[in-house]
Amino acid sequence: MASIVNSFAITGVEAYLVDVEVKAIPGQPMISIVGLGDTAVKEARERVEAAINDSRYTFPQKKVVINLAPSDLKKSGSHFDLSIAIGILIETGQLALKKEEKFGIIGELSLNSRLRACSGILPMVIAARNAGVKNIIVPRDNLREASLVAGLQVYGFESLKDVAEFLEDKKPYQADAKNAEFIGSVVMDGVDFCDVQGQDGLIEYIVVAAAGGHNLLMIGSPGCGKSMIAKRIPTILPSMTEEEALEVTKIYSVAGILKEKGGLIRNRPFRSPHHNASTNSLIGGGKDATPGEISLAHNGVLFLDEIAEFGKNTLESLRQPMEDQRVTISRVRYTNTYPASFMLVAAMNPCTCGYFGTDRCKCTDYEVMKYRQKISGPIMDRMDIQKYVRPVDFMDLSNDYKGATSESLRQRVEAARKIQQKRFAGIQGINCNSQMGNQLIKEHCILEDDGKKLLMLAYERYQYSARAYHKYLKVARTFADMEASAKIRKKDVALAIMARDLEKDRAGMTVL
Amino acid sequence: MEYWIWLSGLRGIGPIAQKKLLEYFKTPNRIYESSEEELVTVPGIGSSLAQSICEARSLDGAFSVLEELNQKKMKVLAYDDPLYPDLAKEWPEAPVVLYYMGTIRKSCVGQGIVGSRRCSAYGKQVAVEAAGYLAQKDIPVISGLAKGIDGYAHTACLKAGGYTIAFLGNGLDVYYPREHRELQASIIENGAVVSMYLPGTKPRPEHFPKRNGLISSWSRKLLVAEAANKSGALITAQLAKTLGREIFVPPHEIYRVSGQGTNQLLKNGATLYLKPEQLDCRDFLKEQFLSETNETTGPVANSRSKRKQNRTERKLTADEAKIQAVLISSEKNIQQIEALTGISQVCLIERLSIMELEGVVALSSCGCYKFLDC
Repeated sequence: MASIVNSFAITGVEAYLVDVEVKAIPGQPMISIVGLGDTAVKEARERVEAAINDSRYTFPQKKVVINLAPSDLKKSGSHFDLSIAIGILIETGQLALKKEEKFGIIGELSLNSRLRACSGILPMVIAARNAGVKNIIVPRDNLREASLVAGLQVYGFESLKDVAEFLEDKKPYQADAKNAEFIGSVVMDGVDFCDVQGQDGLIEYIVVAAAGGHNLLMIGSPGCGKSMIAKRIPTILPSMTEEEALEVTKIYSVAGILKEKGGLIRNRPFRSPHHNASTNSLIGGGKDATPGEISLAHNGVLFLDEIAEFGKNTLESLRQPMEDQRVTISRVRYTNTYPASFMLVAAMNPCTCGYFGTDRCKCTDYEVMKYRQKISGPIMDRMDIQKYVRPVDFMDLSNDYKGATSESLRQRVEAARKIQQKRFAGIQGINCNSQMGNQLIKEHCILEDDGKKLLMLAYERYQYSARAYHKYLKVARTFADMEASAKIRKKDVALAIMARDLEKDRAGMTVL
Repeated sequence: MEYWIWLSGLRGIGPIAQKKLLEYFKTPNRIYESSEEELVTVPGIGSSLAQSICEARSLDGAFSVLEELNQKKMKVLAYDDPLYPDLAKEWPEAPVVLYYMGTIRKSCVGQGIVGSRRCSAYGKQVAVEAAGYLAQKDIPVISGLAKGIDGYAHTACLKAGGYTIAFLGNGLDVYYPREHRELQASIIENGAVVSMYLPGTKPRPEHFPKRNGLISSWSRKLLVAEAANKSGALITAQLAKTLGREIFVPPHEIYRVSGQGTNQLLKNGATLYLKPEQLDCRDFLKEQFLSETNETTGPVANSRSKRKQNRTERKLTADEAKIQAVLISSEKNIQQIEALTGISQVCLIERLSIMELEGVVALSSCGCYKFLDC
């Protein structure tokens, strides 16, 4: 009978249980791995043979067949090494398994039989727990990540020999006290909104954007502080729940960029790809259909600086994921779905020269419009809040004035989010005001009379489309939520009308 | 028509000599049929010119041009066409053939508005106001479809429902500048785009002085909204001056480079332009009255009177009174208003938003609020 060891394979951000079956049959000495493994899996034979010899075991002089079941699913990665090696040792009788429980085994082997860290540990451990595997063996370097999952026993080892001796009950497991207890940090790199001075009005809109999940576009001349503000947005977003944190960590684990960070990601991600980024790097792709920036920004902020310089197709590709909050990437070998629920924050110059609105700017209105049309209507449409960032004249600032801290702003955001959660409880896929459809807007955006009058006045004055009208209602809804008002008041409408500077600009341009 | 095109396309013979020939022979087909000996008798035509005219005696080129014009829906305005304005014929170099798209109406002589391509907000305001006024009076706005002042003049005229003519320095099917493509299409619908160049001609620097001549010769009065030294608009003004047209120039700050050319024009005797009513012209109105085509176009309210209508009469609140007191002297941005009134920015935005909608204050493109005193 073949020896069976449990390991895991990854598809997207999920993992599933794989039975590693090893059979040594008489014949020409060779090793063959079946079960649709990629090159990394196939190359395991060389590493395993070297590692077994290095650990003073003998590699069988027989025909060894290894099957990764289920055999009809494609598998990739080097983390099958350890399970294959253990399987061979059991099959050849060099390892007498004393433990009675089921073990899941993950790890890459080096040629001198050390265990190397690998990516995707978190989803694999979660899959182990879901499959009822109570014990799991990982490389010591992955111990912290694996320990994030409660409900199973995680063992971290440094070499093949250690693992074998532990399974034979020759050597008891020594828990590393330092690694076992890990507490994630919640420090925010020392950035805080109180560093931004004299922009209280603008910050109010950013707080509203964060509270209502509205996408935000900042327009301003070079050096007026757009990036500075964008970097501080994650500090006012509500802290992630355990579930959200695990989702994010899973994505980072699969992308293989968790190793440097280690442990659970507790801070909301902030991703700012350069405008040279390709479509695939943004939405995900590559031969293994790996997650892109939008998935790495899941539950956080995707900041596109100089959004007008991004490729047109690249920007358009964001539309569908923004709508669905997830993205499906298909490649020849894999089709993976990754979550992509992010807040889009973008920044751009107001015109080609960058100084629109000042004497320095000599762009004609047609040129200004042409520059702005680089961002297509559908993308612009998804930007609920479009605000100018005006440079602050430092002579005007009262010397010691400090703005509100991120902490106090975040509390306001969290309060508004709670109201929204209550409002949208039981509605699938809608968590915040920005996601409301027309039906929900009708239901929840009830205006007080003078608010309605004001909105109608603006509607006539600036000749807004019906679509824009709904945008204002959504933003006004969030303004009302900030002060826990059930109805939308005149005050909220007045503030919401000022939320879309570009649209107002359009009305003032001498263009056709 | 093919004879006209043949005449305009003759090498080595310019519009002045072409007109001399026309004066002598009356029609272009007679020129075509005349012998070399007869041609030489025309004053100003030497033997070598007469020889080259005879050698070029083929209508193949003209027919293919006509075919192309038909395909592209372009029309020809010949020198003897009744639509060719007499005023424009005052220019000795007026071309004998013009190509156009759109409609040339009976009274198509209007007022020219020209200026820099890179203009200031001030120059833009002058052009937009003047063009809007002319549109209301149904006086054609003549300009050159260039970026900046020209573009604003055409756009403002069309927005106010007026009639406008654009003269190009390139073929009618060449879009220059590119971003005025839609504007050009819109002018064709509500006016005319005119060029002396054959379809497909690329814009070249030497084309533009001639185009400027067309603008000045078709305009009764010329408004130079803004021009720096060596601006192309100055060429237009120079030609207009030689044609005896009145030139209007708004004053500019003396230290500003972008207004030095226009100030120089003022110094040299141009009329000081202070309000659009100066661009009215009696004889024009008379002409229109006689031609009996005065379609009654509804008066288009300009932005100022519109705002007046929108302005709601009510008592200002205490905060609003404070804001008003701060803004009354000069326009200020929100940080300055905050510092002076002590009201928080968020409250200010709320108040200012309402005041703006009610037409009490206006927000400029630099982010400053201005108190509207009207």
